[in-house]
Amino acid sequence: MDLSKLINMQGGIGGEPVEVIVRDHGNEPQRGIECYSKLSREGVFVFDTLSTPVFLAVLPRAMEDEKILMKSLVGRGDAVDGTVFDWVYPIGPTYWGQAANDFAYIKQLHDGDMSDVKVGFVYFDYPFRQEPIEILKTLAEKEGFELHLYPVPLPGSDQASVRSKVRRENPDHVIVWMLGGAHVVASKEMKRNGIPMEKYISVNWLNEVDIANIGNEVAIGIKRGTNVVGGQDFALYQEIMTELYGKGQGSGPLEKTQDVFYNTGLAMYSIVFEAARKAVENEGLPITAKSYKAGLESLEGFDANGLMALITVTAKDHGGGGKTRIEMWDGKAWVPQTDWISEFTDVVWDAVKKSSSKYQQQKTNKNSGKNRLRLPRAPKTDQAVRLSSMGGIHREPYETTQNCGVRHSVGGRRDSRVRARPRTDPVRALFRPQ
Amino acid sequence: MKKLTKALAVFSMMGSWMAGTQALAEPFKVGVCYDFSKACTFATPQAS
Repeated sequence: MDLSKLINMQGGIGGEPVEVIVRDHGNEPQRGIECYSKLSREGVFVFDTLSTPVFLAVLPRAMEDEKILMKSLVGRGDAVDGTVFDWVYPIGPTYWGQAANDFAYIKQLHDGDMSDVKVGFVYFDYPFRQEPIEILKTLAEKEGFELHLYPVPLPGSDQASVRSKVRRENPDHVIVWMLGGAHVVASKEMKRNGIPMEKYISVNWLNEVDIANIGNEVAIGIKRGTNVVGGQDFALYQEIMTELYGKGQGSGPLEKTQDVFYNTGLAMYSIVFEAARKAVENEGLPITAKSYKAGLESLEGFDANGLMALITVTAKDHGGGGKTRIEMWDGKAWVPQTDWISEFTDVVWDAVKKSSSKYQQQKTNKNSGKNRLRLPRAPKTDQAVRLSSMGGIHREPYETTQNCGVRHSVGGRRDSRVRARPRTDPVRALFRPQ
Repeated sequence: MKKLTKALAVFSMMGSWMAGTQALAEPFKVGVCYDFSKACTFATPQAS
């Protein structure tokens, strides 16, 4: 929001204003589809879901409708293959690339000899956290280390049994694919089980709030793979402070800007808006889905306004060669442990090609016998994966909503217009078309 | 006086032309569909 405000203050893109329309999907695939459909009707052709389950649900429609699906830092890792996922742009590091880089760091710690090394992978037992498993399994086979998998039920508030297992099996490193409160629980359990914090290597979703909740001192030694630079020492941040917060026009509380997640948002939207600039530069106004797509594919050596390692997107590589860096918390700040790296790209691209060709095959099978490609639409009511605050993940008849949970600002109160329709008749639900 | 009237007319025409341009400007829209209310309440309270 801050970046779009700043761009509009400076005359927009090609003289046109930019507008970020924010909606809440509650991490529910069906609501995500409703958001997508509603906004499509309003003329939106660039979407961002920041949710793997929602991304997976929206993906076939966006591909069929030729709308751009930005999915930086979430979703299926094979979507970097532009030859198959031609309307999807996971710009920046994917979970697959990030896991491979974490392993590269571990390998470096063991001077390249992984023969007696045990690596644990602790993850939410849920699609977006299961993403790196195949990459880690392939690397384990190739590099000869022992891989131990530790699934944690959502929402991650109970990790006692998992951590006892970690203590017993004693891996040398523990890669943790969770976020938020689950990190706090994980670190407490590690401490309780006497597992050194130095073993902990987190996915990028670990921020300053989490560290404060864990405790600055307790968290010493924790490492994370990061996609963006931390801190506030970059030109764009200073500009936002001067032009917006300094004039009382910031989009939220100042303290929320002092967070790596804020930097992540700035980086992702620096890419979104830069592609729009490129689209105008190359093909003029108005920006269309096609000119925007070409704009994305002309990003070359772009550093997301100083926030990421250089990115070059092509028609074949929609990831842009995303790099990550391993950092360690020293009690006061994150200290880089590596340079920006992109390792085992052969392993990652092998997995990408294998998985994307499987997707292509499934798509072809679904459409066989028809003259045009047409992917099936999800029924209005469907079995959807829902998360409950206590019970973790389970399946139940899905309740849809009148709208898609409209919210007009990040950080504000929930819109009172969010209403649930009556629950689907369970008997009718049994006979609905699948 | 005549010159002033002319100048005012020109300014007014330019003004309405500029306003017209602004009204015609089509924003570049990005649809951000995020989870602000469900899974994130425990996992990322700071974002929900």
